[in-house]
Amino acid sequence: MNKAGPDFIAALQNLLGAKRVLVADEDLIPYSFDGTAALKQRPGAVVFPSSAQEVSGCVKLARQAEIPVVTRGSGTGLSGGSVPLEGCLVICLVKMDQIVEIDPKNLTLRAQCGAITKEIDDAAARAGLFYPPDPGSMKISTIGGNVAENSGGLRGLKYGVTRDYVMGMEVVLPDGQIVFLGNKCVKDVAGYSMKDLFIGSEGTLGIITEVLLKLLPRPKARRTMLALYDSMGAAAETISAIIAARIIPCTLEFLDRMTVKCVEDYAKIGLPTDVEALVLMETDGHPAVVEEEAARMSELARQCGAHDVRIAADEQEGAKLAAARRNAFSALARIRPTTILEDVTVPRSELARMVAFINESAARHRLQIGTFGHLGDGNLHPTFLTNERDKDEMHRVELALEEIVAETLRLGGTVTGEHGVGLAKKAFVKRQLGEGSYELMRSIKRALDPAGLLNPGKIFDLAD
Amino acid sequence: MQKLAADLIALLGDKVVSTTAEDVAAHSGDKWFASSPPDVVVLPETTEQVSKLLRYANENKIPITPRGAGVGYVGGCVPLKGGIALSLMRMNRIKEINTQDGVAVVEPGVITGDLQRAARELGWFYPPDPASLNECSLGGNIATNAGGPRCLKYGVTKQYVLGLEVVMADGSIVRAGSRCHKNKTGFDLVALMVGSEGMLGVVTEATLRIIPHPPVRAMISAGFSSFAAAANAVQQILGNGFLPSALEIADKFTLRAAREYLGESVTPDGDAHLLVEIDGQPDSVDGEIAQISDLVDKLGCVCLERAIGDEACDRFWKLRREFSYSLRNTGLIKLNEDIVVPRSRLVDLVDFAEGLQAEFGFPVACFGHAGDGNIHVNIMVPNMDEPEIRERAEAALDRLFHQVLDWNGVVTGEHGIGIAKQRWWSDAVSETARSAHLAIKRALDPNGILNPGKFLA
Repeated sequence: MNKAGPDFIAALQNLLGAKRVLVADEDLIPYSFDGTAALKQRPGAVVFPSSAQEVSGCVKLARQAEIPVVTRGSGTGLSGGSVPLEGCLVICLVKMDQIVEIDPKNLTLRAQCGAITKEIDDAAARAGLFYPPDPGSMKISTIGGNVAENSGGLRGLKYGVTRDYVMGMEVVLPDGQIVFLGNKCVKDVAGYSMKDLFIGSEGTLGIITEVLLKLLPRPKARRTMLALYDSMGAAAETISAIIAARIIPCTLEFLDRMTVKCVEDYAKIGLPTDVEALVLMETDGHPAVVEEEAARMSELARQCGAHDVRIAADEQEGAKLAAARRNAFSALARIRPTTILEDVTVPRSELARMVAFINESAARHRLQIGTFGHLGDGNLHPTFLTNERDKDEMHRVELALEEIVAETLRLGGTVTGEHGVGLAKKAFVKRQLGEGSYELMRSIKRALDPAGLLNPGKIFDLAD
Repeated sequence: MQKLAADLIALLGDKVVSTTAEDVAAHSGDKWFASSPPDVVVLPETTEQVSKLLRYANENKIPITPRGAGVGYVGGCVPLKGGIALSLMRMNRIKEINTQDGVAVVEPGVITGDLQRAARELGWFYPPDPASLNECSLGGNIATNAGGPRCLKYGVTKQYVLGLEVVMADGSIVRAGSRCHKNKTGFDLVALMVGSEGMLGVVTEATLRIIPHPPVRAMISAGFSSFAAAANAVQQILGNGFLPSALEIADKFTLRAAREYLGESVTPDGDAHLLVEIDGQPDSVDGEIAQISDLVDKLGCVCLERAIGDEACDRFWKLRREFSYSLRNTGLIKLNEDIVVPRSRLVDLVDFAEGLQAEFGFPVACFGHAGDGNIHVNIMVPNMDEPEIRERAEAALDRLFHQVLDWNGVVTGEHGIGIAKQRWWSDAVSETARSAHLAIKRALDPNGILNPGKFLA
């Protein structure tokens, strides 16, 4: 593979016009990294196509010149998936940001890949409809990035993840061909589920240029609750009790002691800072259902040992309570220079044990780790508060991370529940997947991208 | 052929290998009319045996056609090239149901209905419910990504598969996915395997997602004077923010057949019928079913009945299943096409079906899952043996499928392509997407031993 040279850049400028091709050093810096700490590489050029045809044109040029292509949305990824290769071509899709169609009869929405996640839900809301996936970065993340990463969010337990809402997509393949996969039909078993292969493929198989999303009727009511606990075990028990009562809340999020303290320091919501666990619960749906479920959930929380349960009186107060969770990452991020956000996921029944393990590991290696995440689906976000310039501390971070990953895999978990593998988790992938799955993925990559053009070196290497 | 059987017996033992005429005949086809005998039937009991078998078949380039209960509608498990019919029906244990993790671990030969009942006893729910749920196997459901009436709210089989153990064409054993409810480590191999119709690998174990069973359900059965009125009710129910667990619609021809078979008194009045099911917490179900009744009443239905609770609901579902039997009772062969149209095209579809009837002279009955646009269009033909009739039937199917594709619909919503829809494969899927299929097939099964002769032939 080559690096972008003057001929290649001239060809890009010829295709897109000079304004949509960035090559100056100072212009390239913002595109050298994403939301992941400590990963940086300078691309050779950044282009801003405005149509699938232009994306295809760029891919064909890159293929001819044998220059690797890294696709990028808003660059909020947390596993280094859109971190460039030295001298590569970055295709940045933020200009393709139109919501093309809302079809209330078929409950679908069609958008270009660069449309912002929150704007998609806002547009759906104006039609009385609902786009449930709500990754933490929904105000800035693009839908194309969400689909490429199969992003999760706070409502995963009841509503699933991005994958569950993708009905179709337009993809530019590594040879520059443009193909539409899927349709407006709820069911389709004609052939392999090709669109599923592209969802979560982290830009390694194709470039998603347009998506067709499923919408739901917007829930008429929502009720938000906060429960405070003296032990993580009791919080985890509440979740089992709620599910055993056959209630699937839309949100069941927790914050540990360290995170609660940081959030309160940062956002001044009025949270007590002497609790071991804070759980945010939300139920939505028809007003009668919501009342019934909210009452039952707070009762169950008390029975399981919550010493305080606060029920929001209205949407506004609900939003204030939910802010505790929404602010978790930002609140933790301001404590130390470097924040490393992990994404390990364990079967629901192992959750309390895993949180305890993370705390022990932090103590053992003299590290600060705040943990929060999605109780309902076992997806934890242990967040290392550290300093990438401190070599000794970074070494201890690596040791702790290694322990946490080993324990996660021992419990039958996964190293990434929603952020993806990218570069950050590449080292752990083979261990988790086993030889068979790992080789299978590589053979699919080789079959669809024989030249290894798209986002090479992410998820796995082809030659080893 | 003798050598093949002898080799397999030497490899796996004589208990799992059969060449008796009876076994060969039983593994030659499914519910579709095509049939082709395998040379040998293998009924393994362990993953290890499946792995050995595939390694052997791959080395010797022997065709191998995996199958479950054989209740498919498209000839997907017909061993077109002979060779080995691989039945997974002896691997039929439910290994674990764990409500703490919300998962069930099963072998592929478990009957879908058996898992549903086992989960139900613990208060849990495995929602996918294809019509054949008491005969079909979970391995078959996974291979075809089977659906059912509850898909509108609960989704299809794919949404419930968290992890798979798969034996690949070369005999290697791959574990894809896990028992975690979120997992995005690498490509989604589980989604690739689900619905791949036995052409990419053989599933030997599945970890399935189960959910708490909704405590209460209730239903409405309503008759309308026209299909358009019933289809409008579907849009209104969804438009008013209700998400029923089922929304089933039936047309005039189906109702007429039902009246003949079941009698006037049992069959609802009108020229179209709608079944609505709601499930959830007791108070909310009471409230919602009352509101939907009011809505349907205001929309001018000609008859309306309500059912609350499992027993009453089961009576409505029984009636719905009887519709299907009524069509069989006409003495005609039912070419049951599980096409899907965007929901806004429901009325257009039924109008089109009436035109088809006039043009080709076959009665056409439409019923199915209105909520997700998956309508079973049944072209009723006297037989498929007479060349003239068969040609006419295929011409009618051509017209139907091309119209459906023009509306951006799909030719199969839950049955698969198999052999039955091979003819329309290149119309339904673009050339680029087809070549991507082939690239994956070649990468995973370079010798082409798995279910050969099907749509990727």
